[in-house]
This record gives sequence, C-alpha cells and structure tokens, in this order.
Amino acid sequence: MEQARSLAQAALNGETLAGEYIADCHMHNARVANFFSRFDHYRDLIAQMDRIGVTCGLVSNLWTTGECWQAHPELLAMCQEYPGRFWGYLAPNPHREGWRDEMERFCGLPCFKGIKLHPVLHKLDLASPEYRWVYGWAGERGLPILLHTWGQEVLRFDALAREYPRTAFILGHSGGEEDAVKSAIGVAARREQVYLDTACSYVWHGALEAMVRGAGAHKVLYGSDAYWNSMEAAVGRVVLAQLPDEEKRLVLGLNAKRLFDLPDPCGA
Amino acid sequence: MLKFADCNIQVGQPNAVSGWRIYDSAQIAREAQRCGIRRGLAWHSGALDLHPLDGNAEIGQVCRTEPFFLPVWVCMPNHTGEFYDPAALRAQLAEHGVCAVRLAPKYNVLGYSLADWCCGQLLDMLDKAGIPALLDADQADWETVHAVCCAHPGLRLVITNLYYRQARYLFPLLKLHPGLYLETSGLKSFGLLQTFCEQVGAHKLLFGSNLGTFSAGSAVCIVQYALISQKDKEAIAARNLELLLERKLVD
Repeated sequence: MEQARSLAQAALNGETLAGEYIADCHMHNARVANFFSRFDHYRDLIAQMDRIGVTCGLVSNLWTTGECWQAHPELLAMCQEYPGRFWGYLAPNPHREGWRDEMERFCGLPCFKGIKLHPVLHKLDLASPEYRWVYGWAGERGLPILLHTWGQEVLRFDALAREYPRTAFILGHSGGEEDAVKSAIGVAARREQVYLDTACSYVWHGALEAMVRGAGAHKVLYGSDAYWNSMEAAVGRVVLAQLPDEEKRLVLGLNAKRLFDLPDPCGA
Repeated sequence: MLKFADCNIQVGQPNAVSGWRIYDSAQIAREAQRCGIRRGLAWHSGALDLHPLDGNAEIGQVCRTEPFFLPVWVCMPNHTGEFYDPAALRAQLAEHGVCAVRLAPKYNVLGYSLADWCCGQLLDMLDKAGIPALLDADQADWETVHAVCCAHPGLRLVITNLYYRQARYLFPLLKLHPGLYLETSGLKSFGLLQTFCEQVGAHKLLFGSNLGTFSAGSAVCIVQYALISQKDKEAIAARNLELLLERKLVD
C-alpha cells in the first residue's frame, strides 16, 4: 500500500493494509463453549489476518486443565507452524500442580513473549499470592503481562504498578465499560508501565481517541480478542478512528513491536 | 468502494449521557459519512425518554434539517388512547415519510406484549403496509420472536443490536422465517458474519452501526474485511435494505 494513501481511505476501499506493521496483542487459539465462534484450525486466523494485513498476533490459551490438551505445547506448535505470525503468552493456571515449573520451562523459548492472566476464569484476586508471584517473576524477566480487566478494578493497577515497577501491565479490554475505560486511561496516564489494549466487543464511539489523548498513543495496543471476537470490528475501530496515521500506526503495531521486542517480519 | 445505508442509528441526547457518545444529529451524520455511510434510518431517543409522540415529532424535524436521515417512528399498540390506532398510524406513517418503525415492548421501556392479544392489529397493519419493524435483541425473548414470525409470516422484522453471544439463537430463526432479518452491528464474534452468509444467506443481513454509541468504523469494517464475496458485501451494505424499503438509498 502506498504510504501516501491514508489508513482510513484504505479501509474504506476494503484494501488489505499491506506494508503496515500490525500486531494483535490479544488473541486466543481454541474453541469457545458459551457462544458461537468460528474455529477449525489456526489457518482460519491466518486467513483473516492476511485479508486485513495483520503481521502477527500474540496468542494465549486459557484452558490448561485437559489431560490431553496442553496449552503451552499447543502454542509452541502453533508458533512453529506459522513462524513470525504467532507469538505466545504463557498462560499459567495457578490451580494446576507444577504451574511455576511449567512457566520456567517454557519462558526460555523465543516464541513466548509475555504472560496472560485471567482473574475471572481463575477466580483469583488481582492481589492474590499466586498473581503476585507472577508479577514479580515477569518483571525480573522483562515479560509484559496482559490481564483480563473488566470494571473499576482497573484502578487497582495504580498500586500494583507502584509495587512492581519493573513489570509492564497491559489492561486487557481496558476495563470494558465506559466508566472503567475512563479510569483505565487515568491509570495508564499516571503509571509509565501500564498499557491499554483495544480488544473489546464494546467498541465505544470516541473511546479509542480518548485513550490516545489521555494516556498517549505510545500506551495503547491494538487487540482483537480473536477467536472470541471479530478482527474486522477491532481493526476498523483503529483505522477509522479520528487520529493521525502516525498515532494509528503506533497503536496498530509499533507499540507492541517495542514492548514485546518483536522482530521485523521475514523478508522485511 | 462499498456504499453503506445504515438501518440502526439513534439521535437525540437522552436524559443521561455516557462516555464519549455523540447524540447531535449533525455530528452523527458527519461521522457516518466520514466512514462511508451514505444514508441512515434514525429514531429519536425522546421517543423512549419522553414519549413516542414527542420523539417521533423530533425525528421528523431532524430529517427535515438533515437529509442524510430517514425517519423511524417508535410505535406501540393503542389500547390506552396514547397513540394511534393502526389505520390512523398507517396514514401518519405515509404522511410523514416514515420508512420503518421501532418496537420497544419490554416491561421497563414501553411495556406491552408482542402477542396477538395485544399487538396483533398493529403487526397486521405493518405486514400489509410492507413497513419493516426494528426490534432490539434485548426487547423480547427468542420464543416471542419466533411466535411473532409464525403469527405474521409477511411481517418484515429486523433484529437490531444483537449481543454477539446470542448469535446461536438467530441461525434457526433466520432459516425458518423469510421475513426475519438481522442488523450487523452486533456481529462481533470471530467469523460470525461469514458464517451467517454461508448458513443463512447474505440476503438476510442489513448493515447497521448503532452510531452514536459505537464506532461506525468498526461496523463498516465488519463488512469490508469479512471473508465473503463482493456481491454479498454490496448486498449487506445497502442493497438488502433498499429491497426491503423498496427505495434507492445510495447511488
């Protein structure tokens, strides 16, 4: 895509955003039980990524408790099948025996770039001993943590960021509800190592622009929540936002490239 | 370049404002057009915040000022004398150029039943007049939607603002009922729009944005970047709504 054509114009023309660096920081890789999501194989994700022009995605699998299914080996296989297209989050389940050892075992592999935590699925408080261990461990290793956040709990990251100054926290869904997004913007503005992501089925009008104005374009990361949610809806929110293209490009991928130390795409 | 006609816009500042939403009709029209939307069917929030008669009068004024918009009236049955009997309503809709109506039967909204004992005559009139009825997904349960479609097979009923987690209900309903349609702004699960096109048909989908509340860019790109044919995209973007309303909306 010629750089002279704006991102918005490209989207309005339905063009693949070729030549852009787009990193989706919030993806999943398994079926969903409680609502419809189209999943057959990872190639479904690749097909949609190719249609839009998404360079790569950071993926977690939150179901870690199967006897046959193993989340981290499955993620490793996914990253190996599509090198440079997928990167993995370690997604520890603190209710599993040996979860800390498993994190140690996989964190040295180059495809694992961060950690995903889901306090709702785990039924653990943000300040639980298990999560606190992860915050410290991640900070020592420079691994950003993406957490599912919904509601005013985002305000608790003020204190957590102060307590773990070496840890990068990404507020997944940025709190979700409008008032929580406002609070999340405030936290991200106050705390250098707190980031916002755009992955949310509530694509509030004006919220993305407010995140960029309030926290800074360098603090917002594009995410779609695919396989759960629509990549098309998520990317549309950014490319057609009322923001200059330089800021959109930071959000779409350059921030994630910097934060997760992602390499340039193959052939770039 | 796809040209969109939007069947799901709300204008008018409600009593309680939220977040960064926009309510002013001129601002909404500008934002819609910036995102490639050429015409929009709109209802006024005053119809529910105050009364349907007041909100419907407001949307008429809005449409006279902003030709981008086409009026949608919020309607209800008239067992209480507060509204119009079906025959009089039909005349009013024609007089005011109203191309679709919105139903809001939930108990804490307008509070009535969609069953025939309450709404039968209204729904009959809409069916015979060929006027589509828009119904938010949270305004009735799916058993009721199925019952209404069975009782009024000629009625054109459009489900709007679907919460994506309810999508499984819509597959059998859309297959069963020729007069049932689905507005697209809520199709936010992965591959959902593509699967609807494959399983049900693109002809059942109408583009909508819920602009004012949600991002128009997001709504537009749900269609633009879907893995479906260009023909299906054009149908969803505007042609299906044009067929439903029997009028040209975009060039």
